[in-house]
Amino acid sequence: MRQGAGMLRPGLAALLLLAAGPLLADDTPAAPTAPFVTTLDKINSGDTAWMLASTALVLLMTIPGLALFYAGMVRKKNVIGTALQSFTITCLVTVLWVVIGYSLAFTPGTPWIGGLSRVLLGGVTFDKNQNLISVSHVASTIPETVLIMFQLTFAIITPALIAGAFAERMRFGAMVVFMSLWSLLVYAPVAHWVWEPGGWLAAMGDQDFAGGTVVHINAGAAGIVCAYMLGKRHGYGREPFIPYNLAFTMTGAALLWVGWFGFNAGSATAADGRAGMAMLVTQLATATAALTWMLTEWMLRMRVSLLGACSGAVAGLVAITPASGFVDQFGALAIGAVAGIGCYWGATGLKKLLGADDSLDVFGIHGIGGMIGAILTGVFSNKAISGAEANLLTQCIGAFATLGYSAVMSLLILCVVKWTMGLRVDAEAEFTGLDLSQHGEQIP
Amino acid sequence: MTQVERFSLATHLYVRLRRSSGRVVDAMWMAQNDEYAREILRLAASDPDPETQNLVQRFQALLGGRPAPRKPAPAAARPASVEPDVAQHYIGTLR
Repeated sequence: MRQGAGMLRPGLAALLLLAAGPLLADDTPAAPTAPFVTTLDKINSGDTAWMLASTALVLLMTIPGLALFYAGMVRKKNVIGTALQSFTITCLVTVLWVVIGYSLAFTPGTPWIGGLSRVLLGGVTFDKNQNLISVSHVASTIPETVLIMFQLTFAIITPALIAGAFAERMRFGAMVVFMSLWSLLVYAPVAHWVWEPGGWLAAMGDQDFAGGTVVHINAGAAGIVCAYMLGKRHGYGREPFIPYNLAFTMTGAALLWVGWFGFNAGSATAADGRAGMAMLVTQLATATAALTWMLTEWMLRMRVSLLGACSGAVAGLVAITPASGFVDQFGALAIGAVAGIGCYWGATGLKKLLGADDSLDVFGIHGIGGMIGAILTGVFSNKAISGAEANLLTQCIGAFATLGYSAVMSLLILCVVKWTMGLRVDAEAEFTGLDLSQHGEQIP
Repeated sequence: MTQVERFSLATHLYVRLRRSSGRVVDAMWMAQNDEYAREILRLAASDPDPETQNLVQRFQALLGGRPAPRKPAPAAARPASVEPDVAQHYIGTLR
């Protein structure tokens, strides 16, 4: 009997293990892969408060930050038209984002584009009676509405940046159509690639904390293509194009600088240590880049200019953007220094080389600055901060893939707009200035 | 610089004439062709606007081969003229 009992024990043990299996298994739930509904107590009020503030800061970057930055640099006869472009794009992209943009960018679908589950924000929930609220899988401690708004401000500023490349010569109606198509066919897909966990670049491990590729390389590539397609302004290279008011430009640059804390630190989607680090490295890289640009200008031209200082600061802001959640102070210093010199060359030597009339140096600063930042993220990313290893090759793939896609798609969209309605104002309207010819308004 | 000045004056006259009388002139041709420029100046001379008259006089001086007279800026009305070396910096580049 004892032998029989001994023979039964392994079998009994196996049976017991089988029965107990589910109790012993790891019961950690899988990470959500799509927006989902949760209870109100899961929302972190500190994170939410910070994200609400960040959203406002980033919107200020476009209106009035970018509006002033650009308007101050164009000729007097185009100031109103230039400012109106930023304002109009804000309104336009807001509606498009809510209708379909957010869904295409931030819902799972394919590695290339999101789905339609959030068209017109269907499924976004806030029900106080039932204690339910929807959150995004990419930021589950804040209401989904807050993430929608925050990402909207990024979707707004990216096309607004492009406007600097075709300043002083694009027809207003053509601009509206181009920006509408661009934000849905270029911005939304690239945002999906990089920031939606299922996107092909995100899955590859591409690190872009706040939009070096999604915003700056994207806008820079589109900008240079616009500059080529629209052609040079009449008198370019023969007449001086005097900036209307560089004090406007400085005011705009300062608003961009401060607003960028929302842009970078806000991309932590939490009020935490990473946000604090992102804010610190943003400030450091910006100041370093501004000083480096000024030093470069001093050495080459024996003077320091306000426009140079502002441009250097913006170059630093652009370059630190993809790296801001992943690098420490040493990385910030290095990125800022390289950006200051690199973007100076981008706006001067490279501009001459390319031969396009990129009116406000969108490619030279945002395109080149974005490339510098995206690639140097692969060099300076600190795993203790980022939580993951960066790969230089992956960063290069992300940067060049975005550059190529944005350039090609922008060209296609411009061709469609050109053939259907024309891109450029006529010579008369350009002489008169866009303020008067397009909008019937004038600065006396 | 005379050609540059002619073009600049021609575009200013274009704006003035269009605003005051609705007349549209070819500013580029005016900067290149003396005969056309003289005819436009003859028409513009009948415009009572003092700024138009100033532009006409300056353009006529250029057609005469003399440097255009500089009108002193009235107090608080027109923005100060840009220094030549500042203006030079903004030809073909912004930064």
